[in-house]
Amino acid sequence: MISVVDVTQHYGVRPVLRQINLRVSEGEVLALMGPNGMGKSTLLAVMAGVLTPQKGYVEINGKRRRSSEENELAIRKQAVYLPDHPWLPRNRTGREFLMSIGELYEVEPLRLMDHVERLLDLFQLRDQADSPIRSYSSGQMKKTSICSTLVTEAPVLLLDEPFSGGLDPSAILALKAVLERLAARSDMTVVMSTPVPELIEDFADRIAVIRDGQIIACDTLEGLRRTTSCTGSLAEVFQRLINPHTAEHIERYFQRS
Amino acid sequence: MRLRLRSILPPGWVLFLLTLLYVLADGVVLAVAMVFEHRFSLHLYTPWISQYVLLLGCALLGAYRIIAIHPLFQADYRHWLEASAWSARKPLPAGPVHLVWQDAVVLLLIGMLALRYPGVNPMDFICTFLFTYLMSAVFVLALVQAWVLPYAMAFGMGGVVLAQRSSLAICAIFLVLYIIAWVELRRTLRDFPWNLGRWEAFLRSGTLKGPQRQQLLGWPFQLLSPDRATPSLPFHQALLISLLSGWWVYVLFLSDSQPGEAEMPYWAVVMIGAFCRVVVYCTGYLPPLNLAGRVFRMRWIIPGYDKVFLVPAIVLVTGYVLPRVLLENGWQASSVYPVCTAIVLLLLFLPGPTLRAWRLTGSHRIYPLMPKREFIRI
Repeated sequence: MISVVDVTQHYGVRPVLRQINLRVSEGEVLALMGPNGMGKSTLLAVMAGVLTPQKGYVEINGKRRRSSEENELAIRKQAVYLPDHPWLPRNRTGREFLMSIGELYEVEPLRLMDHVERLLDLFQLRDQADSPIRSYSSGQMKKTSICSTLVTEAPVLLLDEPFSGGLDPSAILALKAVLERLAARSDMTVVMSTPVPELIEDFADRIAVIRDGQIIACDTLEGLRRTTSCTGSLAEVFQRLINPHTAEHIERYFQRS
Repeated sequence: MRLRLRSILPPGWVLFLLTLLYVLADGVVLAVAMVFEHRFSLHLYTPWISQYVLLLGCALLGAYRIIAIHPLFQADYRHWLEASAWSARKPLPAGPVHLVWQDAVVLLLIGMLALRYPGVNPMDFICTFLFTYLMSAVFVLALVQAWVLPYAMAFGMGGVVLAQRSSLAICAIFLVLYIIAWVELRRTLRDFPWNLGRWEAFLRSGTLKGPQRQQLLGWPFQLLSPDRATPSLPFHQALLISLLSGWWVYVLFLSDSQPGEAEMPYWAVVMIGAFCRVVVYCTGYLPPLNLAGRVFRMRWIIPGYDKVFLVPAIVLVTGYVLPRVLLENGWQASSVYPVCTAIVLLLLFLPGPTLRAWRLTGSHRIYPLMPKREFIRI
């Protein structure tokens, strides 16, 4: 379980997160949505232990982040973070890299080898698996970074825009299918941010909408529909929540042209 | 005896090359002197180039005795020893790593050759041999994590600087260091086979590529790893480094002809030490709030982050005040600065937070600083 308690964060003068309170239960998939620059990545970074918020704290499975060396290492073992812009080792092959990550998380060797092979097949990386990562396309690198997160077998995944970064349609479908299957498991907790509502509406248990550093809504899709009195897709619900005047703006734009 | 000499000497072609170089060095000087006899009197000729060739030979021979013979540097030999029935009680099959009487014969020959050079002490050649032998032994022992000789050498070299031109004193220091090297080499041979860890691949292929690559995990795994091995300095190492630095400040102080400039090594240690601590702690670990945020949000101090500046600040203040206090209390400058160096470095190394505690629990923002030659950002 993840608890975000009263988290406030400023990098400079402007607050990025304001008194965020959030609970993600074990086995839940929570999607963070919101316009660009509203604090989704910062909230994930706070959960991932990348930064200490000015106020508030984060607990993962009952342990507070950065409260002690033991707690922090235990949390790092359980919670894996995929940033929107990861750095990959240029000269290592994809297979070597994935094996190293699995070893780091002490995945049993035989299971690790099998898991790596299945991931390479799933994301169609087998042909490139033994080439240095520098020779990969950006989409293949993104796939490799997603594989590196999955290969850890950690029970908590914090994914910052996993669908972005040049993934091809088959990889998007593969990742979506993987997340759907993970969502069905009761021992996997996933928090992810995405700007594309269509990709997550099928499997996200709850959707948290962030605007101006605050969570303005956090509910199931049905709950959000009730709140906004909108029976349409998540995209329409999201639009109602974030910018209810978008349709008017579009009309006005084309009337003037 | 021939076999034994062969086992301690470099290959024949190296010896031939050195001999040729030695003869040519003498020959060139002699030829020049003869051609220009009308300008230079032949009796003024001294074989000054060949004496450096002889010094070079001594240095190479000293290094060869360890680098080429010790099993650490020959992976195949080392692995063969591991698989064989060899033990430290038996002689090493490829030759002894400690000095034997055959070395004395070689050094005696060199000493006799050195007698040709007027005004040159033959002991200098023997010291050169011992210096490169001991430095090679330091390298070997450091790789197998045996630190007695490396520290003894670091202290002893200060003694060599202080002894200056007294070859006898220098030889005595080298003799003591050699006894330590002998004990340590024997002790580490008893501990064979060694766990070389990440040096194994380096010693096998001459490159760090392999083990380095194992540690290259990029962002976020390199910085948010669940078992990130943070370098730490044990207390005894911190103490030894502090004492060693104090000793070298003392050595430089005494060997400096201008006492007014003798404080320089001390100030260099204080300033560089404080700066290095800040760099080590803060590189990639930024404050959670930038300067504008601190100013405009009236958060001048962020205790969870700014605590890393406390020790460097204490070091700078202590570094400034302590020598003055001691000097005013009648201490000699020659003892004040070495003592202060040791104290200041201990202050720099010992107080917390430890680097591991800081990286895991500090109130910072982790900022991945990844070298672009090694990593690609997606």
